[in-house]
Amino acid sequence: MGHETTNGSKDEVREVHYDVYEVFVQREILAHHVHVGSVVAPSPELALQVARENFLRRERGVNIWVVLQQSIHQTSYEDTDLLANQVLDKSYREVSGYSENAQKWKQFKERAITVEDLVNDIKS
Amino acid sequence: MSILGMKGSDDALTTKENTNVVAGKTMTEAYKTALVDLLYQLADDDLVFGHRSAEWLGLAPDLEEDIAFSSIAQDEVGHAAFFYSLIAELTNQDADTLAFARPSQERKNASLLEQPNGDWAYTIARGFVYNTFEQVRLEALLVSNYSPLQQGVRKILREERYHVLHLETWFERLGVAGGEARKRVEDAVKRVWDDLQDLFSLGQFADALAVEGIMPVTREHLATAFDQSARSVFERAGMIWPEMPLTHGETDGVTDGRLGQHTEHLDELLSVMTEVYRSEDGSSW
Amino acid sequence: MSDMQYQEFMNRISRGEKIEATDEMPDEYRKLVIKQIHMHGISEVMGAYPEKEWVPKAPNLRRKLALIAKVQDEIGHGQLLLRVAEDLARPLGKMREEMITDVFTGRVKFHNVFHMEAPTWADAGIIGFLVDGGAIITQASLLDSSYAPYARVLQRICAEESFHMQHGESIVLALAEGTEYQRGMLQDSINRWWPSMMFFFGPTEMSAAADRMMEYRIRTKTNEELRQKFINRYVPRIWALGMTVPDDKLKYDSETKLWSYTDPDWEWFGYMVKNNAGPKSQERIALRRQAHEGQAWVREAMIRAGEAVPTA
Repeated sequence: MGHETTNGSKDEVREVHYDVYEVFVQREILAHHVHVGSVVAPSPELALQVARENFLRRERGVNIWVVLQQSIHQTSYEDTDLLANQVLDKSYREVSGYSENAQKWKQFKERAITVEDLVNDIKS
Repeated sequence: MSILGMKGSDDALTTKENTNVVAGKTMTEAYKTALVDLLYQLADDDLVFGHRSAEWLGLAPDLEEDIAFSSIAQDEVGHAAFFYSLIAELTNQDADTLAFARPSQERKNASLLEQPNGDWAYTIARGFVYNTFEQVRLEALLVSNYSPLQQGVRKILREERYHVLHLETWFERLGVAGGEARKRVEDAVKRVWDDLQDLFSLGQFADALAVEGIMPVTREHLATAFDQSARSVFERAGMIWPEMPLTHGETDGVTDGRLGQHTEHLDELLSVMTEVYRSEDGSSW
Repeated sequence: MSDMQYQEFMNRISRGEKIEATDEMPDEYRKLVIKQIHMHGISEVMGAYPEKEWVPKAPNLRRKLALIAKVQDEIGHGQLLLRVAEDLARPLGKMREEMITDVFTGRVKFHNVFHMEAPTWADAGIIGFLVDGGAIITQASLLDSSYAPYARVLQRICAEESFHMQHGESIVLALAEGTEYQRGMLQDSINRWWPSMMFFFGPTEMSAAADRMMEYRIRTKTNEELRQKFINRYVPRIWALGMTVPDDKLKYDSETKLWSYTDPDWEWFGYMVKNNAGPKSQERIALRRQAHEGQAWVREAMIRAGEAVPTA
């Protein structure tokens, strides 16, 4: 996957360029992969192998992904408005927008419950 | 609590102390009348467009797009809620009443926006045209001397960025695709252009809006800015720019939504939208 | 897969290990997981329709916004789940196209509740309150699924459901403290949805496939366990609102710590789901067909345009 170029000087020194791979590490089995950095490597196999020591020599991990950097498409940092989604109030789609439910349940002599209560029911 | 349940002055779009005050003076009746009329145009446009956009829920061409398009619908209804809240403060009314209780002849939205969704090509063509226009109009409001509006617009413009990008991308690609898509999008453009005139109308108080500094632009200025922006997207789409319709002078016989003139489609939309609201007067829902 | 490999796989399962899409797995496991997640994902997508009907009619701006956001989340959950199912089904030649068209051909079923009518605004609230409540209980029991990609997306889904739950309760509470008309509307809706909710968790006597899913720990709780959790949480809350539950057998036995209840019409519900024969089944399938087949031209055009326009 890497490539070679000749710089054209009379010594004919060959420059070898490894490809860049972005590295994503999964810390535990139910976690998602998280980007941690990148490596240059001559092949995907070696990218995986060196990523292990470059990024997981101390911390625990269960899986690594490497992705050829040129395969990544990204948004622009300059375009700060593109991802602006909390400029206006969006509490209607947040739990915090419904705090008055608790008072109302109290008026009906019931306790408000949350999704965690239901999840804990299942664990019990 | 305002309609959107805004908390804390940082996030709040409206700044109480500015209401009814312009440049340190209590606003005149003439100023207020023109301002409220403009706010109705802004609010009604966004509500009707948001309502129509939300009709696509569950029906978009793929699931990923369904979700993306739904955010645009939400943003537009959210913007409408903001503009209604400004009117509510100026007129001492309730934003929901303004959104739900006004008959069609009092509505100031452009007639283009009340038309049924049609196919995806029409939806994209209209959405692209409206959002391009909206951006031009909002940019003109960045110099409004009514500061609650000017400050809100600054924030709204940030959300519009995504709408414009997304709709331009769709429009361009449907054009470039050729074949059936190209034909459909050409037909859609024709239909949009038939209803385009009153989008640029500034209503009964157009002159006052400029004189008072509420929205110091003319309809010709809006049309020119729109032309510049939209024309380039047509080029990228490989589509023929249809030229601007008459945006000044003789507009007799044109349905001008800004004057409360509407097609039957608005009545149909309102009868659906207010069904539950009307079912039990004065109830809390 | 040899017997030894199968045994090794089952050992992994019993040790509580998680399975990934790229792992070796018995064909039966793959098919059961695909079936479960496909059905789950399609149910989310079809579940958008009953609530979607109320988006244009939501009675104030905040409810309108919230309901659009909620339906959007449902489609979003469908998207997350179908992507997981698609990755696992790819070796079998199934992709998004087949995942969706299986709805039209009846090869995939969706939850009984989404075949039912939602004729009043109160249904928009009761769906959020009871159907989402039931869905959260079911999904919470799957957070521990042996199929890791499923468990991972369920974490996000459950987190988003917490807004759905509050949104549904908010509508229900507003109606409960409203006028007689509004309270009547709420009671009617509870009456309408209750038998569907009892069926929602499935029969006490589970199917052979469901038993196999338990053995593979794709799921870990029985239908009856989930139904009991649901009744235990929701019946007292309905009563607290001054509403009744349309079941005179409903009673808590403090010794067994179980609720007795009237069985729903298992046969009828079962037939309805299997044959898409509910009051709204065909109408909603037609909507999905309209979205998918009616707009095949859009997807084709976008692929053509993608080939014509170089990406940045």
